[in-house]
Amino acid sequence: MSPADIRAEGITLRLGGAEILKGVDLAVAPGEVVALLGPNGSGKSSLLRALAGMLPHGGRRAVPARLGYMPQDNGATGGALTVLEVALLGRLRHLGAVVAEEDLAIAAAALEEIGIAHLAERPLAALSGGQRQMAFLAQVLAGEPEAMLLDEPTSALDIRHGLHVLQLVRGAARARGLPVLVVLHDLNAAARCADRIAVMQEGRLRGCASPAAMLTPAMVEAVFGVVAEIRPARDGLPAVIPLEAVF
Amino acid sequence: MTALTRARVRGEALPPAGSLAARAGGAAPHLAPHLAPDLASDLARAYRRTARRRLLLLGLLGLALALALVVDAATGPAMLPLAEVARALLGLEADPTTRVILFSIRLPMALMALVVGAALGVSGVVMQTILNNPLASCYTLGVSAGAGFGAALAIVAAAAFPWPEAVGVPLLAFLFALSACAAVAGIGRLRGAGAEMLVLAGIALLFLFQALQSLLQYLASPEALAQIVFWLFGSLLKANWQKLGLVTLALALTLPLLLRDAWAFTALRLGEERAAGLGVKVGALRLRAFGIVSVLTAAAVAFTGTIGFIGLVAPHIARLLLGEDQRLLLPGAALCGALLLSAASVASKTLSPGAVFPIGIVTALIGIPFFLWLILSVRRRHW
Repeated sequence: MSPADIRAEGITLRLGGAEILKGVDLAVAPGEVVALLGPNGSGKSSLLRALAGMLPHGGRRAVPARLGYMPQDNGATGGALTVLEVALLGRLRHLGAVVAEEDLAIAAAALEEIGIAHLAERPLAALSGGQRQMAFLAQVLAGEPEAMLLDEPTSALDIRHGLHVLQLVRGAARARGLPVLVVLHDLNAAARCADRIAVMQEGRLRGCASPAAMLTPAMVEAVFGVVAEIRPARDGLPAVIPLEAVF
Repeated sequence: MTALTRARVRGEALPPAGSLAARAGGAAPHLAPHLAPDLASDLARAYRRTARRRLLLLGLLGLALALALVVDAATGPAMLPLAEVARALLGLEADPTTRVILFSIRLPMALMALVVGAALGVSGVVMQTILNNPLASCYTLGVSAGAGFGAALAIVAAAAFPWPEAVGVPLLAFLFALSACAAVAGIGRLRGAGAEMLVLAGIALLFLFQALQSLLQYLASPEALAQIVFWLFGSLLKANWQKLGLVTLALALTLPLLLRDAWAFTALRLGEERAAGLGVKVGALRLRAFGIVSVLTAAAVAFTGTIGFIGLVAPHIARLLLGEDQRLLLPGAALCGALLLSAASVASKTLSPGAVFPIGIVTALIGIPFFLWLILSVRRRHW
């Protein structure tokens, strides 16, 4: 096992008597993007939190020391913090009484990379939900992570910026050899940004394979309760057209 | 050069070939059309500029504070000439009467206003941060109520135990303020020290101590009742060099400890989970900081009584002026708190010639309109 892997072995989690995770095995290789899909309450965010070491859990996990964890945006204000300060906080482990040139340069470069350098001096409270998400992604990148765990990084973004951010994530994974586990709700976006798709259902991993292998009408109906038509798009990847919810 | 910038220079971090952004020519040029190529260093320069401006503002607050100290020391039943006060304070030759009034009466009070204001400002900003609540302060969390009960107990019990009141009142006030904090932290700890739990526990204790204190007031003799009520108003009149020394010591010991966690506090403003993701041990930080500010607050309110307003407002004023970076916000809240209480001290002595209003009343009466004006006139969101 390479030290740069993200690896979960038999992860279990109980919260308030409920069994949230029922033994999840999953491995993400360096440079690989795995999209974590599943209906609401299936345990996606809990798995990410457990992997980030924020919840006491059963089973074993192995993650790099410098982990870029981006939780869902709960709209916590952040008040008067500017976007550059938010990115700078990604360097928290390095910050002292005086901000070093290097940390400032890395934070600024992360903003530039995400494409929000023009927002650098704006307070977080004045941003839209999508801009906030991009600021937080810049924060993760500024930490120079060895692996990334991203919880719905595009939930508030329009389709263009959503695609843009996922392309950046994929680019960063490739360029720096990072394993990336990203929770998404958009099946089509997942098919395009991820090398493999992992599907969770009721605390269990239902499978983890290539987008074409995972995204089948049978899986979509069984897991999400949606009748869907799936056909290859022009880029060769599956395109999911949801037709009807089944109750 | 950093790994990140290296990667960018080599073009590795660009989206994969064939993607929309790559076809459009790099990382989303539409997002920032006006930017110069050497953008990162521009941003760094802008950051340094802002930092310098904020430091200057902090320095100006310090100057205003020195001025407030002189005015406060000059104000009283016998008005002293400002120049004479300044000369005496600077150690130059001055009128002996001025020196006596100044060093035995006025200066301990004036300095006490600064130190207590600073302590309340600092503890307010830390409580607001660790509890993620703009309403948190030593007053809203039952700390002041605990001190009030302790003082009332000491005053009522003075009839039975012949201890010197000058020791008993601040001692019991201090102990009960601390026990209020310990109870809040203990209750919070049972439920994992979540912010909401601590706030709820604090408010419950506020009502508990208020009820206990009402009970004491109901049972107290008329003389003791008058004393309790006067203590609750909050006053600097009993300040002396020893008390000043103790509060100063508490501030000098706690502020550096808090400043060591400045970045962690700043990160906490992004929410508990994000801060934890950045490497902050949130639960431990919260309990540690809560313990530190408990001592600080207890020391401040034990000698002066309930001055509720400073701990709530000084942090918000500092935040409006200096932003959210707690390396500046912590000293900034201290300066703002000191300035507010010093100004209130001057006002308490000038509102009615010959009389000194209890400062706790004055801070709220002049502070609230100022605060409302401030939050209504500054359009920028700060919390």
